[in-house]
Amino acid sequence: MAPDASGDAAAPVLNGRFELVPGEPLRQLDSPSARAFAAHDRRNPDRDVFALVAGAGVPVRYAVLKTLKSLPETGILGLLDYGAVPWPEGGGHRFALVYDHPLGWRLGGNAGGRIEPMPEDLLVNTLLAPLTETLGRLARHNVTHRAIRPDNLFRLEAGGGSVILGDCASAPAAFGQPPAYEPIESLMADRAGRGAGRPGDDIYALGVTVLALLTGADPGAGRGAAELLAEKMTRGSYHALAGGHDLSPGMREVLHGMLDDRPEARWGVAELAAWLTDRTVPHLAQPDRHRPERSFVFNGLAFYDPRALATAMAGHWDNVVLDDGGHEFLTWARQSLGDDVIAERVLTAMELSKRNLGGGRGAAHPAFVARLCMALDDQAPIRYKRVSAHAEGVGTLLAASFADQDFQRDMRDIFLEDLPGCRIRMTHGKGARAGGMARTFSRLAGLVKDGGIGSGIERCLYELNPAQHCLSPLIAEQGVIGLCDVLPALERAAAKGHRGPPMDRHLAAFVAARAETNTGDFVRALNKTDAGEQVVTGLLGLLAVADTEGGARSFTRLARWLEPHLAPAVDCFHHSKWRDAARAELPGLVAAGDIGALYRFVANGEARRRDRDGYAAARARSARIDKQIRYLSSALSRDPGKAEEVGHGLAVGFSAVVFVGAIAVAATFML
Amino acid sequence: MAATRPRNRKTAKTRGPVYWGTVIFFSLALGMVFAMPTVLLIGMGLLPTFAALLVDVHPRKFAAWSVGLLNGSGLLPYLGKLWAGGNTLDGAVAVLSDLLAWLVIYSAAGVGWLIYMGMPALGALVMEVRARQGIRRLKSEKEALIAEWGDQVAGEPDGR
Repeated sequence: MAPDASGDAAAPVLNGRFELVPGEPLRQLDSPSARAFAAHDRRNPDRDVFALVAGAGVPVRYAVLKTLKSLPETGILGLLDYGAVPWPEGGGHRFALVYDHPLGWRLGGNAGGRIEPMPEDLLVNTLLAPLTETLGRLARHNVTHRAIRPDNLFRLEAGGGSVILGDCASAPAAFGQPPAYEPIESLMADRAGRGAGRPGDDIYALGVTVLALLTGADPGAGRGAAELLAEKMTRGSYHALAGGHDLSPGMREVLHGMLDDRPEARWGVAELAAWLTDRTVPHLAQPDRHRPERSFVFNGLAFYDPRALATAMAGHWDNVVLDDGGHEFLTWARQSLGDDVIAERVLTAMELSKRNLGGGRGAAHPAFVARLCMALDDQAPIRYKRVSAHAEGVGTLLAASFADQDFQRDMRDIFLEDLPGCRIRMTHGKGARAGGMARTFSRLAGLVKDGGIGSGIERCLYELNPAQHCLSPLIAEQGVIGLCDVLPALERAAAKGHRGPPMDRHLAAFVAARAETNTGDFVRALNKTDAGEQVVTGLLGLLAVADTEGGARSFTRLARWLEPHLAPAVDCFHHSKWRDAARAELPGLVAAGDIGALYRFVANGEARRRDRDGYAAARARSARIDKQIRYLSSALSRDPGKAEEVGHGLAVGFSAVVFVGAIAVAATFML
Repeated sequence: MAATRPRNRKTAKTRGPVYWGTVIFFSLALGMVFAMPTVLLIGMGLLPTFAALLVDVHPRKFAAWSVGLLNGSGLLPYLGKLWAGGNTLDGAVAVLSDLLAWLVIYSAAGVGWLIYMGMPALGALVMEVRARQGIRRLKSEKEALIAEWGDQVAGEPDGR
């Protein structure tokens, strides 16, 4: 960190360009989950910028950052840069986003503050029209804002002028939205699990914003989230929010369209643009007012609406009992609802849940109830016990609630039962997008089922949240987000004298999720607890992957931390000279701190193959020696017949010596 | 389990007494034609050897060789004396009339038999010594393997 001009502790610098000033908060620019601070652009000192620093434990919308940064600045607060910075408060790193400082003021004050009512003409011309255009531009880039509300709108200029959208990336999509600003299907989900949603969700929020600015009142005042949801479901959003206000006919038209609870009927950018041009009101398809012939009784209450029934079942899943294997329920869905699509989905849900139902009798299984609720209401989030999230919001909800062990367990079940995949298939069918997302969740289900180091729910956390920092107790406080920062973080952590190896479930999952190369072999090796040298190979392999993506660097303290844990990889050499040579070579590698070299040393396939082959040959030779010793020690080797033969041979030899001697003597005398 | 070794190795077809008797007879007959005194002395002097040939059933003829070589050793001086005297029939008869010659020649053959019968005991001792030496050498080789590859190399090849 670079020292600042006041001589205080060094100021955090983002990507070498933007200097943040933790000592200068800008409360008027705070977001619900991010605090604003002054910032300076080193490259362009005259530019007025500020930084939003995300709260600890709040995942940012990493998926939209690159697109937002590339967008032209008109219509939305200009995002200049983003990334992790070291942060003095609480230590560690935080995710920061640097924006152009808005010239105008915030429209609605801070959240919960007083809203100044706007005249209708001014609202239409300076807010509705420009924001409609902005939403159209975002939709063309496949980005939803999901943070449209009065206190997140700014005047473009100091004297007034058009309105622009504020930050939408410092928290999960719709995380900071008051309940009134969210459509029914989004309001059903946990605020961290609402997902990116659709452009229609932005139109809805814009509609509620228009209502709030017209009336100068909070549309949801005096009602909690549950109450608002119930009222929206029974009376409809328009009547629940705008019913008591005196609005002009034009505003009633546009708000009816923007607050329509049917996503397919809700106005989009095109309809809004048409209305803005010549006040054309698109033909609204009348809602189907067909009331089922008979109700379905659940928990002592009669339900005619599948959405209401699904909501009740989701809230009391343990009371869902199907004594007849669901036959009565299926019959009701087919005959009374008169909706074959729902009936088919119900049948599919039952087919997928056969193993959960255990023969179709008796007590409910939460996974079956979750599928049943999806079948009854295909717009609702996944609801499993306490968890309520849209498929696209499962990752952010997991990140926001990971510390809760019970919640983790429920999330694990959700992946194992492939509920997100089921939701995607029900909502999107078999389209290309659905296929890609469904495959992702299917793969994650496999990882959760595996459950080993480098897999499990931790892997899901990092796979679904690219900006999630590593939660390993070894380096959590350092807020490591990028793979290239893992080894430097471990190098700093080495000073604390940890006894265990520099690897745990979170680190392994983090590296495996972030790596661009395939780490499957290393993860598998790491889990071979009965083969010490393979565990070491897996450990060093993952660290080497992190090293590769960060460039060649020296980590001497990390290497010293690793050294005692490398013993299995050295001791596994059978040949004493090779083992001694490996032991002699290791200190030099440790001193150099080259993690990649350490990995190559441990994973030396050629040397290990030679050692393995040599050892096998030595064992075979040893076995043959034992066999020969046993033979020589046994009575069989003292065969009397053999002994006799040897003795007779000796006799012949002796006689031959005597004969040769006799010849020599005779020859001597004859000569 | 140690492999058993076959008791007797028969690598060639055993030749019986009829064969050897025929060989001796025709050899002597032929020799009588060309060198009667020598053949006469050899024929009479090596009678123990011919007998050993006839009774020895072992394919390698250890008894015949043992007796024959010592029998021949006893005969050699008298053959030399015969040849030195001109290889005459009178010389041969003179040797054959000498009781001491008979004693020397036939005693040598007898010693050959004694050696043949006594050596198996020495053979057992030799085998014992060779087995012990072999065990020592093999143990030394195994110790070198253990020093090179560690104690586990002494286990069974399948990992036991």
